[in-house]
Amino acid sequence: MIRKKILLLGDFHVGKTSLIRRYVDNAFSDDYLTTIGVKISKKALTVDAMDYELLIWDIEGATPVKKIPTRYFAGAAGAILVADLTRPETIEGLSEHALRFHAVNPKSVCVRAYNKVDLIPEESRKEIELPPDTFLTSAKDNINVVRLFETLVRRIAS
Amino acid sequence: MIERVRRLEFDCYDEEEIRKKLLPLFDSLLLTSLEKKGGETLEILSRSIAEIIARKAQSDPEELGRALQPVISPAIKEEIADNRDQMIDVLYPILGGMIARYVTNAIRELLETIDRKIEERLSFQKIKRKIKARLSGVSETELLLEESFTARILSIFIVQRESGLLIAESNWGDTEIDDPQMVASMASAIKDFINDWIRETREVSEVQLVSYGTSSLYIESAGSVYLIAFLEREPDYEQRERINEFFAKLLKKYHTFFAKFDGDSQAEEIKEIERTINEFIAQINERVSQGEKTDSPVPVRVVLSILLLLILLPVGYRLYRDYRIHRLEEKVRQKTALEVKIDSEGDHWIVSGTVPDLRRYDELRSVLSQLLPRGYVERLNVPLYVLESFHGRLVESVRKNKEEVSTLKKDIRHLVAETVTDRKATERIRREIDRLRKSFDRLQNTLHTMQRQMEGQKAKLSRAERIAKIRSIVLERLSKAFGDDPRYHRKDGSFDFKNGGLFDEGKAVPKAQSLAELKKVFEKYITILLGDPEIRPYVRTIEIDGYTDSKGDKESNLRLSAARAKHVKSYLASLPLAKKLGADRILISRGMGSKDPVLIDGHEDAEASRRIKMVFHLDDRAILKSLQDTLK
Repeated sequence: MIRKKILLLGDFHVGKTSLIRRYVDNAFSDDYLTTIGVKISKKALTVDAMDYELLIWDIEGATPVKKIPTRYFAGAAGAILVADLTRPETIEGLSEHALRFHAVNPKSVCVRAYNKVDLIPEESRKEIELPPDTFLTSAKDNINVVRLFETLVRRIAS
Repeated sequence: MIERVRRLEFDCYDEEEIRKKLLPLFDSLLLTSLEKKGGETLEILSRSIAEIIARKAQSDPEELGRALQPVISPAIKEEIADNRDQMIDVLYPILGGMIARYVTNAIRELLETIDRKIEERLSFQKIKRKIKARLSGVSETELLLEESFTARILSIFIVQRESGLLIAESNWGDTEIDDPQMVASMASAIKDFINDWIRETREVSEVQLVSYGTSSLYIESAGSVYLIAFLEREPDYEQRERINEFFAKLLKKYHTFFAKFDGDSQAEEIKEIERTINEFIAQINERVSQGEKTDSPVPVRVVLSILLLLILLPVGYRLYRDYRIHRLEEKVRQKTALEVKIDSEGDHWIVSGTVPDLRRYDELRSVLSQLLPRGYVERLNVPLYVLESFHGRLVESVRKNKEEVSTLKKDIRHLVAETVTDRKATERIRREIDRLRKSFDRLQNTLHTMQRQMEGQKAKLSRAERIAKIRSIVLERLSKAFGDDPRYHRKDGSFDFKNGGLFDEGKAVPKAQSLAELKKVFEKYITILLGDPEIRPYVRTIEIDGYTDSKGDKESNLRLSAARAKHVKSYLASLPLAKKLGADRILISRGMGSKDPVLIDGHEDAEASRRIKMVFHLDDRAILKSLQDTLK
């Protein structure tokens, strides 16, 4: 069993907590998120015949007046950068999140989730340009959630 | 009511009977007055009641309490139910004080009990505690309190500092923490959060103790990991020290593994670490359990052992000392064959006995100084006749020594005298050397001056020689430049343009096509003569001589030749190089007529005879003056 710490980063209200709630086995109360700025959840999974246990740190979203606390970044093997497809500014903000994450963990990897794809009409989804390692996700309709986490684990393992 | 009293008929005048009848009336009257809140009645009654209660409270407070209790208790109860907050405000100052007093009393009683126990018990624990109290400055009572609160360790986690990943865990007995991975990560996050907050607000480094309910979480960080100990109570200082020591040992052994930990829970080291932690928890908790048992008084056998030890110590020391003395005496006997007695007084060794002669005495002293290097007190006897003989020898020796000293004194005097003489001679030689050195310096200076003068003269002579030979130098240079050109004459340095086809018959102006050759030769000629500063001052003139063929009469030929020379001179003087080197100022021309015609096989080559010649002349005066100036 290999244990890894991973982070979920993104602006406020992009759906990070919903993604985790959809995916994990066990989690602490959401109260911690508002109290100390982080909530930790756990997920066991098997990728390419290897057992993993992810400790997923859901880090409080950034708002215009409040930056993400970087104190929790250290030691993370990877991060999922989450944006809200209906708010373009949250997609633009992903670069800054990636920059801050790599400043603390230069050798770690990232994948991106353009979340809330359920709010986009199906015919328009094909027109969305996706950078490498980016997924259209929906916590509500459970679209690409598992694939998102598994891809991150593969990137970490490689 | 008053009317009712007025109309009251008395059946008898018995005082008791009258009181029985009147009292209900008074009560009714009083009640009516109180209901109407009659100011006067209330005033009178309040004064009396207060006085009555005060008196009763002094004489029999318990009875008063019993009397009031049925009334007051329900009233308070009702008041609390109706106006809870106000009642708390009112009662808190009283009850708070009471509680504080109660707690203080309880603590005092507890401390007194502990003090009493300290006084009553004689135990190793107490001795240890006393020493610790003296060293640390903490009272014995406080240390005992600490001892009474030593906590059991329920679990220990080793967590990677950066990631919050749990590396190893161990629990005590049946204790089990649900989902330790999550707890470790969350504890890590909370710790980071608190540490950040502490750093922002105060100058404290890190959170170390977190209490929840009666339990505690003790956190110690070092290197790439931190340790979390879950305890049933807050750990005391000593216990924290023990945990820290254990943590330090763990770090020392596994720091490389901790630093490289990548989340692999199957690593071999983890099992070892968990086993080590488990042993440590068991050891600590065992100690806590033992600590809870009553300290038994010192067993009698221990006291007896100490007493026996106290008795045996001096006996042992005495035996050891006697043995050592015996050994020393034995060694002295072996080495000197003398019987001496060795004893000790405090720190000193005392050696006593008789020595037959002084030689043996010296031997003995030498041996003793080896065996007793720290010194000894000597109480040795030497027979008187030996000493008398020794005295005689000593006197003789002194006499001889005096003679030797006298001789030595004479020698020294003689040496001193010699030394003085030598010193004077040395002084004389030194002065002579100084004088010679000065003469040598003077001579050397003179020699240098002469050398310089000679070098100057030599340079002058060399310069004069070159001036005197200036013509030869010029000719040599020209010969080198013009080499085997048949038009050049080595003897006088002249240049004869006899094959140039310079002039048409009867014409004074040179042919245009011949000018280039003229220019080329002339420029080379004047560069040698005027371009060298050594030669230039002595060149007086450069002469251009014109010639004709033998045809015509002598006078006209002379004129024609002069005109030819003049034309060529004008042309050459106009050249830029001639002007630059100043040749234009020293060029002269002369007509030579039909002199020196060019003959081939006895017949004149008329074209070749129509020519010019170029020759230099040196300034003999300038050469002479320069020679004089140089040799002056």
